[in-house]
Amino acid sequence: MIGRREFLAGLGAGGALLAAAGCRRRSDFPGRLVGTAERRGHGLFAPPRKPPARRERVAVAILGSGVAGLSAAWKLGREGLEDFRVLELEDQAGGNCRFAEYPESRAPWAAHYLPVPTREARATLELLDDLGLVRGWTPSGDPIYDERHLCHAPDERLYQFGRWEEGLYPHLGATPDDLRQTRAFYAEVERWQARRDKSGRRAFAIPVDLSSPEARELDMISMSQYLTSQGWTSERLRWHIEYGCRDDYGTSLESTSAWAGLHYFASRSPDRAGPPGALFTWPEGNGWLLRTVMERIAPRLTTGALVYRIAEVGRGVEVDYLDLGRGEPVRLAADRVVCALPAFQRARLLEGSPGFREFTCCPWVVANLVLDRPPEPGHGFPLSWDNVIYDSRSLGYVVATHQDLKARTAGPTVLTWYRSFVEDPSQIRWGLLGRTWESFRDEILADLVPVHPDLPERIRRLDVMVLGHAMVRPVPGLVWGSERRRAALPQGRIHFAHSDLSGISLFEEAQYHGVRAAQEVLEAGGVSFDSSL
Amino acid sequence: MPQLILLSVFVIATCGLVYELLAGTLASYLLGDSVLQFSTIIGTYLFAMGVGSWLSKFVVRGLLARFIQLQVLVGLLGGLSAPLLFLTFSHASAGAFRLLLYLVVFLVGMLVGLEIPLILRILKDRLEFRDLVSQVLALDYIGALLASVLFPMVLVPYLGLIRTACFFGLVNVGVALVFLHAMRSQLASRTWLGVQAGLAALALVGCFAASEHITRLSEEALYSDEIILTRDSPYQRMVLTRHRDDLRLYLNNNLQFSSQDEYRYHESLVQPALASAAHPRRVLILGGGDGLAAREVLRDPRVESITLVDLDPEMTRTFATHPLLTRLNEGSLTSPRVRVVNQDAFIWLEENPGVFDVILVDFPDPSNFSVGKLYTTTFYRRLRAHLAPDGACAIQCTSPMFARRSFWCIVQTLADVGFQVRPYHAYVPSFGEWGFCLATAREVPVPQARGERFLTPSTCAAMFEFPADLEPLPVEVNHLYNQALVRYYDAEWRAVIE
Ligand SMILES: Cc1cc2nc3c(=O)[nH]c(=O)nc-3n(C[C@H](O)[C@H](O)[C@H](O)COP(=O)(O)OP(=O)(O)OC[C@H]3O[C@@H](n4cnc5c(N)ncnc54)[C@H](O)[C@@H]3O)c2cc1C
Repeated sequence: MIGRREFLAGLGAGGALLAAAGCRRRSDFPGRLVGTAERRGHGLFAPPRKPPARRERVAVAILGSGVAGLSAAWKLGREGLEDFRVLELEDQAGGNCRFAEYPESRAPWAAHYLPVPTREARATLELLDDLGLVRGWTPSGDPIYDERHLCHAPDERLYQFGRWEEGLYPHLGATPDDLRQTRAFYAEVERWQARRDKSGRRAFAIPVDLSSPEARELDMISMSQYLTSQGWTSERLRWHIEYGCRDDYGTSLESTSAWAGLHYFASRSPDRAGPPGALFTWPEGNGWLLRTVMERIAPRLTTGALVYRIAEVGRGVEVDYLDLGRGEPVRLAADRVVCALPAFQRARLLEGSPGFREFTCCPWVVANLVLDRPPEPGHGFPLSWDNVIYDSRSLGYVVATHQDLKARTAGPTVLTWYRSFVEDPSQIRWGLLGRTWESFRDEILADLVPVHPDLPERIRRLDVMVLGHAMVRPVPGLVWGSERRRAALPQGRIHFAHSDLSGISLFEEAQYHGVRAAQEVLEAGGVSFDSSL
Repeated sequence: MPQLILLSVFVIATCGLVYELLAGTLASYLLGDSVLQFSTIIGTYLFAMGVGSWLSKFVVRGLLARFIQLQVLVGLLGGLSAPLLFLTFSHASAGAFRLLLYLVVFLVGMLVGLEIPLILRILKDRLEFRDLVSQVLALDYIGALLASVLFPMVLVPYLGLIRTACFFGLVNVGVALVFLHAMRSQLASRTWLGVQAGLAALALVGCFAASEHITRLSEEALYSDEIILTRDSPYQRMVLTRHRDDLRLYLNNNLQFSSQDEYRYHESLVQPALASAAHPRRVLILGGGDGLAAREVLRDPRVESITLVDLDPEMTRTFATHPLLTRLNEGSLTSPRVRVVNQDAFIWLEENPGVFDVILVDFPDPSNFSVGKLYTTTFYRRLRAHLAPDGACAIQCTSPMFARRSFWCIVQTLADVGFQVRPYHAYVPSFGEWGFCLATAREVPVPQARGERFLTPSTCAAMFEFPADLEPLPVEVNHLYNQALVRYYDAEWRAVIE
């Protein structure tokens, strides 16, 4: 009945009828391929031959301004060590926390949320407190978070059979056996969540390095093998679990280690402070978390700096970088270095470094769709923060203006669309880098228009970013293997940080390694400090 | 002569496609699911055209006269299709509407399907077969193109569906009249044909003129009372109805007040808070763009200023100017003591520092996640920051009878942010049993307020007593991150409706 009345109500607004009249401004909106990382980074293949003439000096050089690099800077700054420099290849700092700034809204280029931190992620809680996100503390010492920044309801929905349902498990059409298997899987997850070893450690902790080795055997097999061995063959359950792997790791059930696959579910254990399942999100995604740190260190940050050589010489370290603005090589002499760059670059940059071949990364494609207003929500559950399409190769989209407090948000917005590539990365990376904007646009429209027929008329622009080496892949053997351990150990005066060193790419992991590396530097310098870990 | 006929091909092709688009648009708007509606309508239409083409072989004699009659018929049926469907939709069952829809589409399609075969046969002796087919079909398709461009860009936005239909009906009839005139020498029963075309034209012109009226008729059938005002804003559709001296306001089809008993609601919302504040000088009203709560507040001489924050400028403008409405709210919105601000209340509270002695919260019920934000801990925390230490808030809290959990969820949420909460309820006949909360920073005694027409000190105190069937239920606190309230509300009102 309401539907009828609303129709009649809409009659006056003749313009609204345009949509249904089948008249569609086809995809004639502008957009571009953003992000030059790959092309710039490939400058590493042909570094300058002559030693740089321009020389600079600093106590600590931090290479890379992702979460790891900026967290090292944050910790050094908190302990009063100000004589450092951060070198960053891109023009914008932040690495995978970079974001776009449209007049309509900010929107993430990669990382977009942070789950309420686990008890072990102490540095993360310290950062949140530093940023003013903790409103107070409970009598038992747990933080009370500022709710404005927690993801508002409704947070997730899934599209299947022409309608949206709440959550990310495809309930519609599930058989009793599907549901039984799903319950059994979650019962196993809960068992792991509750488990502690003798010294009170969890089997699946964040940071990964604080996990007990109890479940390490699971790192030897793939998630697919593990599920099959438990008799969990339900397609829906496997889709649901694989979605988690594709979303957090960029891997399929076959390429994810069972340890990492379970970590996704079991690490976010319900006994941590804050509402269960709650997560922080902002229009610009996790870039929000770095903004304050970036402001603090702005004078010590050099962007457009491609580091191409790191070498320990005498009682210091030489860092050679290309000042991309001037096209000029520079040598930065430092007492110590925090190398917060991806592990795969190490062999090329660092003289005498082993290859670290076990670290592989997967490509991602991220698109920002600027809309004049949100698409029609469709049948079923209303527009949510995260909107996922069952059986799509994409990961769906998040809505940048979701946290808007206005009661009615019919205004412009940005949808951020994600796809991770689970295929063998060495096979597809170059192909992806050669693709045109048009081909991505067509792929994205083909993915979204069946779900939102009115989308093409809504789009003002569509920008695409290809992240060729987006994140480390937790393939079997990486997390509990010896190479990962070795990669985190300092080499002389060079300390290492980066989410790669955890084997899984998460904010807390990158931050943990950044803070750890900073603490190694402080310790070596004889500075006394309070550990944040 | 062939030129005239060819021109007519172009014109009638345009008309034909317009009818098809009209039916598709109407169906997808009235029934939803535009992909399904469009495909089935187009399918039916094309099939019917096929039937028409096949039937054309049974037309043997008097081709020209038959063609003219055909034009009159297409014009009449196509032209009246939209108004007819509208009225059916609002007055008949959905099943009947669907049946009629497809019947109309089929008939129009069939008649349109007859057109081209007849034309081809009329022209077959006057043109080379090769030219005939190429020209007729080319013009047919060009006409279709014109229609498909005109329809969404010009016709729907400027004429609307009903007038578009009538207009093209008239065009068809016009073709008939032109033929009648140009080929009068070849036609026997001219007068009779002329009368038919004239009557059809008359009907269509009448319908065109009455299109507003038809729209309104459809609405009235749905609202059952006389509609005296409708207003659209980007936020809502306002419909004001009158039945004898009962004035009712609907926002997006939800009853907002009935002039018969709104004083009960507004006295209950306003007076307890005014009585509980130590010095009710500065008053803030959130929502309440109808000016009725403001009217109650203005009765209190202690009040020096009222700030009224309502999202919708159309709403406050209408209630500040329409004579029937200003009589109802006693011109409150133009009172020198009242300042109207059109902004989102959440944002306004965030951006403005003022502190108030009394805050009245009169938002729509939490029926969706958007409005639900205005009932969360985050919102109430902000509200608290704007309340003077010895001030008082009153909040409308939906029905504790029909939505008992929702009501107690609001109570819980207010308590969670540190308010002292006194829930109360009043009977408003057009709403049923209705709920409110009195929220203060410090504990206050149960107020004994007096109102103009409803409240007396003892009945005011009695509102704070709850009978057994309205007693508290265990509920969750409503946060931005769980929006528990919207879920309770949805479940409870669904149970009432079903
Ligand atoms: C699409 C996508 C979505 C994600 N979503 C989330 C999420 O929602 N939540 C979450 O917790 N995590 C997410 N992640 C994981 C994310 O990678 C981590 O959270 C974190 O941002 C990684 O930080 P990092 O410092 O380890 O690495 P990076 O961000 O990779 O930082 C490395 C930095 O080094 C720079 N650099 C590289 N080479 C050179 C060189 N030669 N010279 C100078 N500078 C160089 C790079 O430009 C970069 O700025 C996502 C990742 C991707 C790709």
